[in-house]
Amino acid sequence: MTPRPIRKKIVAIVESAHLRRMIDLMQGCGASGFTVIDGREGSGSAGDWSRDGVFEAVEMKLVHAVVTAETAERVLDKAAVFFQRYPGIIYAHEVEVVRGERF
Amino acid sequence: MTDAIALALANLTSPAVLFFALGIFAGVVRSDLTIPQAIAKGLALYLMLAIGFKGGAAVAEVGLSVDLALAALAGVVLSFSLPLIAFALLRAFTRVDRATAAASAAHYGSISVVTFVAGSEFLTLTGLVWSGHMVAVLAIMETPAILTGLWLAGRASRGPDPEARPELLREVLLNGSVVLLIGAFLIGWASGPAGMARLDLFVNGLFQGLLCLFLLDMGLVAARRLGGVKKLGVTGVVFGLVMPLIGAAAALPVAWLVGMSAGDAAALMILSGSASYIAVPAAMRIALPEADPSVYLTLSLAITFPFNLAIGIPLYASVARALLGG
Repeated sequence: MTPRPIRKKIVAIVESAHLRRMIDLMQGCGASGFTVIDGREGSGSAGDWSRDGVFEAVEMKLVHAVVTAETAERVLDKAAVFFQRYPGIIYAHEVEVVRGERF
Repeated sequence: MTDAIALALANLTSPAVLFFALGIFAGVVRSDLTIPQAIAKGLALYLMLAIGFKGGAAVAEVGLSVDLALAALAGVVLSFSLPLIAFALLRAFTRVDRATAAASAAHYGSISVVTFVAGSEFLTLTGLVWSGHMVAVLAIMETPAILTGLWLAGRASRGPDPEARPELLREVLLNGSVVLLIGAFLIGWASGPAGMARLDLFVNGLFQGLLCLFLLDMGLVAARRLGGVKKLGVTGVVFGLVMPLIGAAAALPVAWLVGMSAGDAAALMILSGSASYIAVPAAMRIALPEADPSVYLTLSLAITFPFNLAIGIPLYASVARALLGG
């Protein structure tokens, strides 16, 4: 069995209000694709949050992207600056992929 | 005076206020009653469409006059200046930091569409006639306060994030509620009485019922925010109760200066006394992420909104009627 290619999966959790900037940041670093998922509720250093009727701005979204190790490095560097000011977290780990040329 | 008390009681026993109370009750006792988020958003859109259309249709009937320009000017002045008072009070009497005070102050200069919707229904039911163009004033008042809030915050070490500017501009100028409100107003104006005849059932017939459903959800949301009250402290809560009175009181002489009728003056008082909870929070999250949303959302939703709905609206209406004649 040939080993599958290894890529980095980045997960960022950001407020809806800052979603567009996070996506722009990832794409600007060379991420070729991403998926956004709605958060339901949670808690962190900035307090509790949940999906609350009509106030989208304080809801959290999860942005997933699978990228090469070099792209991940660029994204995390830029994100470190971003998260100094904006609430949320970002992390990355290695994943096995098929069709490695897509990332 | 007895009239004012009768009005206040009539307001407290109106279905809209009672459904709001039911929502608060259900939220406080942790009932599993919920309104799905998509429906709540749909209801908010409906209310904006209906109030915008009704305002536009009313303007089509009476025609445009210099009154609209004067009312708009009054609204802009109030929206720009009320945050200065709110900011000074918050900094003097509460412990909130500068960014949070600036963000909260912006909420009090801006307006709450739902408060206006409930208030305008109350005015109509009690025989105070307000002009359709007040809906345009409502839309116009949403934004200036945001600019004042950002200016207040900008004098702190870390002002609004310049990189977020394009996004903020889009949010301020093209946010969904402003687009729908102004769009529906223009459509109502363009289609006039004939258009109104066609949409009558939708924007008038169903209005009270859907408003009740929306207020039920608002009650649930407000109850969830009650947890934040502890953080505000006594002075914060007092601010949330006094600031709407200051806003409404400031609107009264302005309304008199531009020669508004009692109904329009009451509407302007309701607008000035109300605090935003959709447009401004979104703008503040983008521009001032370090401001604490649990402070401004609790103030505007759990304190000022219920206060205006239960007490503020009939109070402003009575004062406007007593001083400017009905």
